[in-house]
Amino acid sequence: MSTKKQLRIALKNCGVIDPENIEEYIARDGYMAMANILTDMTPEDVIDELKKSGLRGRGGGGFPTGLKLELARKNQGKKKYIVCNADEGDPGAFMDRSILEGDPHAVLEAMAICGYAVGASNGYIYIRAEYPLAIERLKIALKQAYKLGLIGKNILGSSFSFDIEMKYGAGAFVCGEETALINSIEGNRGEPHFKPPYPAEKGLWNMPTTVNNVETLANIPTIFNMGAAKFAKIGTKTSKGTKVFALAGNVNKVGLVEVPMGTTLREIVFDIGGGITDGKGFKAVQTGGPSGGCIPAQFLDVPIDYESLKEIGSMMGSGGMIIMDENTCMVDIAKYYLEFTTDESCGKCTACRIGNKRLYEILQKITDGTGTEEDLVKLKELGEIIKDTSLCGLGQSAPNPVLSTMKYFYDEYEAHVKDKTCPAGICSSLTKYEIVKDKCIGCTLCAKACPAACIIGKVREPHVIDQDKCIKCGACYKACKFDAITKS
Amino acid sequence: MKKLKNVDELKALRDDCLEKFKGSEKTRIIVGMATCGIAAGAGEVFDSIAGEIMKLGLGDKVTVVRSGCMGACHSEPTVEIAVPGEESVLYGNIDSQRAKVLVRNHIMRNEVVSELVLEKTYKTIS
Repeated sequence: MSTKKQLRIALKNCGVIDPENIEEYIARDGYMAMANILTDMTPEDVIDELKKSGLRGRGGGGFPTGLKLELARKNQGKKKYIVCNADEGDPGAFMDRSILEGDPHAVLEAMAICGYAVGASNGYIYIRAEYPLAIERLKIALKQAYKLGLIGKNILGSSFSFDIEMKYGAGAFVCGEETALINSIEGNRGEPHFKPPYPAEKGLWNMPTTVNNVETLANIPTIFNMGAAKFAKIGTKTSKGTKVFALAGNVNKVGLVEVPMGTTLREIVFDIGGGITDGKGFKAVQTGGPSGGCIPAQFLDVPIDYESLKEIGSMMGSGGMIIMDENTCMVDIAKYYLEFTTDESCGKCTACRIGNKRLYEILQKITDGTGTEEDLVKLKELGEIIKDTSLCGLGQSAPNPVLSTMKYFYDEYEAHVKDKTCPAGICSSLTKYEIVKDKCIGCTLCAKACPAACIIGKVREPHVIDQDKCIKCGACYKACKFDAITKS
Repeated sequence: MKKLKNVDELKALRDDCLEKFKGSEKTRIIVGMATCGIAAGAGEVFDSIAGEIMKLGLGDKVTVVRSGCMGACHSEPTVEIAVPGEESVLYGNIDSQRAKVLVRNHIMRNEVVSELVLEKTYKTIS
């Protein structure tokens, strides 16, 4: 049926090799890119090649990787550092974990290549402690690489030395932001600081530092093995190569997919993902996690890359992709993400700490059925102010889920506020369950299922729900076998 | 394993490894064992396959390997069987019983268990 729409570059070894056996990685040309670089290329050549490849940061921002390395190379410092950002925290995202668990050596090799390019001899992998298997496999990989002299002092007999150390995150989402991450490695509070100075200037221990995401790194050895020019042929004009997405939500084939940039959402959701579960209709896809937005059906045919996703009010993000069916309430989704970001806000800047809390409260009001039209105006205004005034990426992007759903699903917000209804039937305060007299045969199943004991009626006679006592849990709706209960 | 002193030694090791993994006529059974696979029961599947291979005395013909995520989260646990000289086959929704069926049918009789096959929707960069 479907032709092979996926192309694996970052995932090339995932699910193929034994990640705990360095020999399998080496058999598939592992560490050859690094070896060739150490013998035949200057650091400038490496940077040029990466620039030619067009590789951009896969953690979300999309900053050109070659340029990032060049900046750190040019800046002076007694020491320089390479940091691998493995603090994957977006709800529903598992791309980086899968790469680390399936192909840890690719990340180590890439870090050494970056170290050579920048002039750094130390690397840190900042990984969240909630990824025990990834940590375990990285540790094994590191040990094996040290043993063979592929990491460590005078790699392959050259004058280049590179050590890698692991640091564990303590569960804060904001530590995925590079300045907060650096603070955390240094043993300080995981709080971001204003940029500039960028890490390339003053990063870890105030030295020039390059922070790269796991997936970005996983591409690097293959880019050198296949040649930058060939890599640059894949993708769109501005975004080269592939992107890994963690496909989740109401889609038949949830999973890890890697597609060339420029693939459409339709191809991902329907051809690769096998369509929406239970034959329901497609409503939206959420990309970019808490920093991204919801994309409605009208954009299913947009070829996705960094720019096109931004244009339609979302962002590439790290690659979480949550598919939503017609029974999803967009206000509820926005509230879910806001709850996440308010929880994860570090509290340093007012806009994020208080602004997002207020945004969340307004959303709570709307889903409770007490929102006003004025609230909708306030929601948008406040969201835009937070975007403009927050200190770091977390705050700047936190209103995105609200603003994008308001942009494309304004009618749903209006329905909550004006008609006091939730069109998708998700917001329980706005839902009303009623028994259709003509259809009810009095089987008592609903009454038995009701935890509030608010369904009254005799056996074989139509039942009635006491609306004052109803807690809107929907248990009766699920229990009824005769479609006699309506939800509105 | 000794420290590699130069690129040539790495190349030599690569060739040795290639010989070991590809040159041999062994069938390779890969069990997807990332966190997701293990949570879905891939550990039991691995043990079942390894046990069956032992029991049937196929140890010198078959290697069983733990890999990372194969991407098909919708059908974990997943198993891929690569018989030398043939296109490898990806199986999904395997449990310890089905694992034994795979060994008996695909390995012993060279018959693909078609009802458990997953379509591969990807190409890998060469």
